[in-house]
Amino acid sequence: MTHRPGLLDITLITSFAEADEILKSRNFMQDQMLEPSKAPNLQGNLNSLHGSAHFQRRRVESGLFRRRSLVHYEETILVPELRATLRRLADRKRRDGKVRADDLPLLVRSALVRAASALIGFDLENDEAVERLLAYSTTIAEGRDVVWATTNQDDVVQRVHATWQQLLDEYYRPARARREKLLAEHAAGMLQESLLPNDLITVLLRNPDSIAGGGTGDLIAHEVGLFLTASVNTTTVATPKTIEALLRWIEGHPDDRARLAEEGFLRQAAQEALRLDPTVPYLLREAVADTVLTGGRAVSRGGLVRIDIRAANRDQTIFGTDADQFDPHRQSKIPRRYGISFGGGIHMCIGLEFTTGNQSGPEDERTVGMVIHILRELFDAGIELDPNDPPQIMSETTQHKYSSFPVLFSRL
Amino acid sequence: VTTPPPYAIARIDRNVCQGTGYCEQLLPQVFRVGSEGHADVLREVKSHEELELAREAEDICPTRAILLRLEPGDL
Repeated sequence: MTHRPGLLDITLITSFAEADEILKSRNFMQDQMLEPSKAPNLQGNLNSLHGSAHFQRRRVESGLFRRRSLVHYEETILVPELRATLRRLADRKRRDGKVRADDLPLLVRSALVRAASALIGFDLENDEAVERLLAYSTTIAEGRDVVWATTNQDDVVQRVHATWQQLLDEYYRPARARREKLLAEHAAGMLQESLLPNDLITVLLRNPDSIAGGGTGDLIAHEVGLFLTASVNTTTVATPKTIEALLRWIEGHPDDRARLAEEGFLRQAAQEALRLDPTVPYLLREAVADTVLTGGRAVSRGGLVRIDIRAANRDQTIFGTDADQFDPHRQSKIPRRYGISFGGGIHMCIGLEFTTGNQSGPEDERTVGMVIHILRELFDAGIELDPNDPPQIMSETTQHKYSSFPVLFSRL
Repeated sequence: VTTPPPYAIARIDRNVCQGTGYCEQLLPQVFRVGSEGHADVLREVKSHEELELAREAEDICPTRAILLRLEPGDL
């Protein structure tokens, strides 16, 4: 058995240039060492694949992120859900006319669960099913993050394994069975193509070659687990960060308050917040050939590198001498305001547009993005920090996550 | 001898291209990721088969860096 070094012993990459070169290089592949340390272990998921298996899977799944689908997730599901959540909060107005929400990340997560379910193919029959899935997805997100924790997480892992089985039984297996039945009816000529769902479970069932070869077990379930956590987590983490950073920015730059309603300004702010505090701290890569990087660093075949995303994203040669500061107007040497927070190269996050929208190309091809929609709705509702109860950062992890983030709304 | 007209012209938005290389894997006759780390267009899209793949390249590109301009009357 090959000796694998511990996470912290792996060569650390902190410069943006080296990180970017490694992510784009065909001489490096995704390393597999982190996945078994996560709960649940979703081996064989898109993020862990390499080469042609990765390309084939990605080819099939990219159809889920066409503009028409993204607009559906955003405008038909996310925005009405968020507005309904905020309306429910308004019933709890205080004497000073403000409304308090105790947990901003949970509020964001609750708005996203329906959109994530549409993307995956979970059939949510009532509000109770949504609430239960929200609880399950929160627990599973904790489990996927234990790999970054600095304290023992055995209790979390145990809880996650039980929750994962419940999620499979209550949501995944019934959804898969319904879709298998629909596909059988379609194959028999009893159901039109246009009546088939366009979701992750369906496209993987229809393209079994794309799921074969990724490992053992129910690989569609593993992919569902990845999509559930990835589609919800990035936005759940990025939105509160952006809210806090922007509200503090406005204190020193009051002229920008009027811009809180501008989509472009909110996108720049979200990308800036993601640059400073990425969702995960490190990306691991393994060299598949002896390689010498442009700057002279040599990595032997089989050698591992650990890319410190946060450090690379604060590289002063790229982002300026104030790279450690939040500045939504920042001009950098690269067009990617978010740095490498969405990865890079062949493994660039498939949900990039889902999260922050797309602003290239003709106007009718553009999308807003989940984070931007949520920011717009929350600022429209007059979100502000609670001066007596500011956000608190978790101490027992290398991730930038909040242990507490209460907020007030002044316009509900 | 006249050359048949192209079916579509592809363009890469270099401001957003990240050189992921999906376009090159799908249609190496038309796209290639150069040493500068972003994709270049080698030539126009010349057939219906290539057009299908070019459209897929548009879809699969995570940064939406590919823009296809169809040539009117040629399809």
